Amino acid sequence: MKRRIAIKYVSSIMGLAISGSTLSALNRFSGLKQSGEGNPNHFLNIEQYQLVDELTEIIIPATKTPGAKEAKVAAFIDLVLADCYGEKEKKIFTDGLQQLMNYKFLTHSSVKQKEILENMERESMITRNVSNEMDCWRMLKELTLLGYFSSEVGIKSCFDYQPVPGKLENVKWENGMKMIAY
Amino acid sequence: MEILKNKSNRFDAIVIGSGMTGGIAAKELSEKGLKVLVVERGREVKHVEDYDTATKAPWELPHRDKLTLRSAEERWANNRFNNMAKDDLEQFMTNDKENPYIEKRPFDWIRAYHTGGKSMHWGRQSYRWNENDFEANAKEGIGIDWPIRYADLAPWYTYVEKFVGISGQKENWDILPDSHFLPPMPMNAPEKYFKNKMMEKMGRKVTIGRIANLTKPEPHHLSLGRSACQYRNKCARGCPFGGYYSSLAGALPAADKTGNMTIIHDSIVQEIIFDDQSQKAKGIRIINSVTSEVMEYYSKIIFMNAGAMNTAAILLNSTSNRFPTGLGNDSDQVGRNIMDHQLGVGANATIDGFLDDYVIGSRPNALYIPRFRNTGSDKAKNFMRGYGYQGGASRKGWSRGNGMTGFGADFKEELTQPGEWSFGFGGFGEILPDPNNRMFLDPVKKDKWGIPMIVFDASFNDNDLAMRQDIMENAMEMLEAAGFKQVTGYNRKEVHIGLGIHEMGTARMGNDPKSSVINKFNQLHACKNVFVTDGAAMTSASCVNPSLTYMALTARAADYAFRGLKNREL
Repeated sequence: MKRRIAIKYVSSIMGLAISGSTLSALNRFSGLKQSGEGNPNHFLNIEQYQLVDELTEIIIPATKTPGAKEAKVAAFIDLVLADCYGEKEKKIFTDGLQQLMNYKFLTHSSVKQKEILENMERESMITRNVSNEMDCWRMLKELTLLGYFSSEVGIKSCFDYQPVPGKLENVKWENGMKMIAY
Repeated sequence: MEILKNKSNRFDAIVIGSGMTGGIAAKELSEKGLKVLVVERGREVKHVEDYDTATKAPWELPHRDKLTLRSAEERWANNRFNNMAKDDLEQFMTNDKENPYIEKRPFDWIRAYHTGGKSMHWGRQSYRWNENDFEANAKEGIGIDWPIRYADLAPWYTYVEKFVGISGQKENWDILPDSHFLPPMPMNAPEKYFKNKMMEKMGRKVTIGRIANLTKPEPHHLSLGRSACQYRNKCARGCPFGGYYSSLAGALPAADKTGNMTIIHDSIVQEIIFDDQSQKAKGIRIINSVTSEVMEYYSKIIFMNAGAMNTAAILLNSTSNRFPTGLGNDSDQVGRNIMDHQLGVGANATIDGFLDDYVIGSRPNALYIPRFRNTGSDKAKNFMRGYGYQGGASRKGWSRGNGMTGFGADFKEELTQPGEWSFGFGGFGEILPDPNNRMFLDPVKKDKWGIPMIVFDASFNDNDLAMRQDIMENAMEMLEAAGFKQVTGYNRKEVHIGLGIHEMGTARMGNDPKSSVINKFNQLHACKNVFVTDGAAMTSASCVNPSLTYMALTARAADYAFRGLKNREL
C-alpha cells in the first residue's frame, strides 16, 4: 500500500482525527512487504518483533491453510500494542518477551519451544484463576487469534466469508461445510 | 456577534433535533404542508454515502475489535457502553472530551451528535406499552398519573409501525400488545427448545424480538429507497440497504420529499426565545459550533426532540421574566425524574447438543421474554414493577479459543469448526420516577460555546438494586430449568443509570401544571406552542424499549399541533 493511499484509507475510516501513532503505524505497513523481514515497527524493537512473529506462527501455524506469519499477525499486534494498550500492559508484554529471550527461545528445537510455551500457558491459567491481571501469554494468544481470524488471509482461508448473506436460514451442519464469517 | 433577522429565518415549525423523534416530527409536520426547519447540533451524515465503515471487512479496520487509547480518552462516556467507539463507530459517537458533562453522581451518557442522532445506532427493539403501563403510577401511587391511556396512543402506534416497519410474531398477549407486523425473524433450534421449556416448566412466555428491520419491505418502504434486511448484523454502522429504520433512512427522506423541510447542521440551540407580549415562544437562538456565529430563527410552533437531557437543558437555559428558572418550569420538574432501563445484569450458559444445527445469516435480533414480575398473581417480595429479558442462542466461534488451553495445528483446526451453543440474556428493568434523580445546569461552568454545562445527580435506588438481583437470579433459574450447563449470572457493578440509553422523564407529561411540565398533547402547560415529544415527555418508564412510544407520541402531537394551527388556536 502506497503511503498516500494508506493515509487516504485511514482518513476515510476515522473521519477527521487521525492519531500520530495510527498514521505512523500505517506508514510502517506501507513499507512492510512481508512479516518478519526486519523492524517495521515503532513499539516492538527488531528482536521483540521477530520473536512475536515466530510465537504467532507457533500458535497459528501454516497447515492446509496459511499461518499467522502470512496473515501478518505480528504487525497487527505491534499496532494494537502501540495504539490500544497502556504502559502497564505494554510492560507486562515486553517483560514476558524478555523472559523468553533469556531462555534463548528462538535457538531451541520446536519440541522444546512447545514445552516452554506450555509452561507459560500453565502459569497464565493459574494467574487467571487467582486474579484478573493480564499476563504476556494471555495477551499474545488473544491478539494472535484476533489478528489471524480477523485478517483477510485467515477469514478467506478458514471460513466462508459472506459480507452480504441476504438471508437468515436454519440449516443442518454437514461435514465439509465451513463456518460463515460476516 | 451578528444576529441575522430576515425572511428566510421564518418557518411554520422548528424541530430541535433530527434523531428518533425529530425525524418523525419533521416528516409529519412537513407532510401536512408546514414549512419546517430541522436544527441538528452535530455534523451532517448523509444516508448511505457517509456510512464510511458500513461495508468495511474486519481486516479493513486497523485495530479490528480493539479500542484505541485515543478513543478511550476522548469518548470517555460513550465507551462505558461496551467500548462502543472502536474503529467502526468512533467517528459517529460524540467526543465527550469536547462535549463534557459533570457527574455529581455518575451518569452514563451515550451520545451521537450527527444527522439522525442515536436512531442510527439504536438496538431497534420496538414494543408497544400495555394498558397497565399507563395506569400503574395512579394505581400504585408512584410519581404522577399519565394524562393518557393506551387507547389514546394505540392508533398512533399502528400509524408509526406501518411507516417504520416492525418485524415480529403476533401473540395476542395483554402484557405485550401486538404491533402491525412484518414477518418475524426465525428462532434457531435451541431457542425453539428454550421457548417450549419455559412455557412447560415455568409458564413464561418467549417470543422473537420485535425489531425495526425490514424482513419484507412494503411498497412505501421501497419508495423511500429502503430494501430488505440482508442479515449482515452491522446495523450500528448505518445500513447501505436501508434495512433497518433510522431517521436517516426513513423520516428525513420522507420529509425531504415534501420540499417543505430545511435542515441545518452544526447548530446548537442556546435557548428558546419567549415573547412576553404573546406569552408564546417566538423562535430559537442557535450558535454555530464551527463558526461560533449566532443566529435566530422564528416559527409558530417548536418541537423539542433533542433527546431527554438536551431538551431539558434547553428549557432550563431559556430564562425570561415570565420563566426565571427555565421555560415551562413553573413546577420545578424540568430536569427531574430521570429514568432509564436497568442494563448489564443477566446470565449465560452453554448447551449440550444441537451440534448438527447451524444458521446462515447473522440475525440482528434476539428473543424477547416479556415481564412476568408483579403481573397477575406474581408478587416480588422486595421491589415494584418488573423487567423483560433479551437474548438468545448462538454457536461459539473462534474466540472460544481464548478460554481454552492449547495452540498449534490441531488447536487452529478446531477453532475453524463451530463450537457448542451458548445461551445468554440480560434484563431491561423499569426504573421509577424520583424527583431527586435529576440533571441541572451548572451555575458557573460553561462549555466552549458559553452554554452552561449539564450536571447529573442521579443513581439507582433500593428498588432498582433489589430488581437487579432478581433479574440475575431469575435468569439463572430459567437457564437451569431449560437444562443448560455452566450457568453463570452477572450483575455488573460499574453500571450507572443512563447506560440503558433510554434516558427519559425530564419534562414529564401530566394533568396538573403544578407537578408536570407538559399536558396530554405534549405542550408546555404555560407555553402552548412548544411541544416536547422525545423521551423527556415520559411520566413512567415501563420496561420495554421506548423509541416506538416516543415516535407514536410525536406523530400524535404533530397531528394535534397542525389542527391547532389550522383552527388558529396556536
